[in-house]
Amino acid sequence: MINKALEINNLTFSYPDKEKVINNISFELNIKDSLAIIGPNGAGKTTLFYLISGILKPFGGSIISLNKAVKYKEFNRNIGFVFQNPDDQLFSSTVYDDIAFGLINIGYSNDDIDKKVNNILNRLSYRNLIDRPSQHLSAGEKRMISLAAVIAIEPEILILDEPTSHLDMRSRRMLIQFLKETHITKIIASHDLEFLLELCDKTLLLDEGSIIKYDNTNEIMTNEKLMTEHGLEVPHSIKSKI
Amino acid sequence: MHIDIDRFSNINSQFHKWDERYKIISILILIISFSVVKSFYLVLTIPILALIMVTISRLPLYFVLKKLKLTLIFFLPLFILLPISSGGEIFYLIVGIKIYKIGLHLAISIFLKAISILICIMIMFGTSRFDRTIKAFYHLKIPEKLIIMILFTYRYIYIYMENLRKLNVALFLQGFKKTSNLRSILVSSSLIGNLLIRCYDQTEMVYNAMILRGFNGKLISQFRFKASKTDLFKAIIIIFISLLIVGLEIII
Repeated sequence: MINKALEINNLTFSYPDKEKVINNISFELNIKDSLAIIGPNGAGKTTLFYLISGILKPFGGSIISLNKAVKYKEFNRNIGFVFQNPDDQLFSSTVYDDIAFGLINIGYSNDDIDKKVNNILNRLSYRNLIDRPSQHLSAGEKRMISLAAVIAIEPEILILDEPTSHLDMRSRRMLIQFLKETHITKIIASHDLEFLLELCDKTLLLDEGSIIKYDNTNEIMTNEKLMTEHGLEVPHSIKSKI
Repeated sequence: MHIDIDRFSNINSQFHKWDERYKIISILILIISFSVVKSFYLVLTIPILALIMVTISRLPLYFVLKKLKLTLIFFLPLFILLPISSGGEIFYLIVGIKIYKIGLHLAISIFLKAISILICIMIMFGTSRFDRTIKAFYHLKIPEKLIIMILFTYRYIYIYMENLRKLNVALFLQGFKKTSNLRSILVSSSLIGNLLIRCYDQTEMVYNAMILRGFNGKLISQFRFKASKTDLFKAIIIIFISLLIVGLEIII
């Protein structure tokens, strides 16, 4: 029986103009765990996501997702990745087409595609956007529709890069609720630590491409010294309790 | 910035209610009939027909004219060069420059035909939502690769226009004014270069997003078109007008 969603061993990656963006990191993640990835800008969070999803090819090490090695630029239905910039993810002419895109590729029938698109939009309370051109959506709507487009193909692991950027408080709350009700493995990188605190049991602190600490979220986020050393702040909700 | 060709697609007119597949075929046939007309007097009637179609479509005239503005700039050199360079019978003499009748006729013919054809294309795309028109093309067996290219171009024009607008605002806020000096040219070319690099990077990311969702060459979702007898009747009228134009051309 598979119980590991992700196994990363000695992963290394460099860009031509920046060495060791990911520096020999290893960690594991159990199925249905929610992992927060935190760290200052340029810590390697987005690069790590590109490697896990197969967009980038590692220089060394391995990535195993649900007992299957992640291959470079190969479609892996188990991994869904919501990019930082939704304009990179919404490329079709309408919201319906954007959400249907992955489902068409998997080979669903037209009726099933209809059902799934309507279902996901209802869950997000965005049914009214179904026929809207993607380019006419607000930044927050684009963010939620790009999430819907990824969730529609029902991945086992959901990667979210800065999911709360451009979201107002209401949409942010709606996103938290939606993610709480989505019982799959989640890996989330964000500077919104309160958001991570609500959703993730585990946290991985990354700085200069290396894992500084991988522990329970509360353990890491209450450690003021550790947080400050790596350019982060203890979330207000924790601070007020200390 | 409004660059949508389909921003008036929600109006209620006979063209708006028309099944897109029938509309495309009929208007394309009409366009072909416009393009084969050579008789000068028949050419003069074509724009009238196009304008009647605009009236029926209820597309605002200012919208149509605004979209034609660029075409007028494109045809300006033609309008200047053809009448003075074609030779033949002299029509008029202005400060020693000979205006030839054939050239003038030719310039007017090309101009009116082009404008009429563009108006027809505008009616074709402007009276339905863009994605529906594109899906109708797909149903008419236009190669999917071509359709994907059109869709992407249309979709990303918005983003690049928005990027360009933001870069221009950033320049303005830093006190930059566009003039004709060397610095202004260098800054503007750097801005365009910057935009191209951003476009390239974004293209890569979009492609990655497509791969992650299993892209296998298919982008278009199915759309269930429903044609009625009225759609067919409208197509017959337009095709009849097209044949009439060709017939008159042969007779004249």
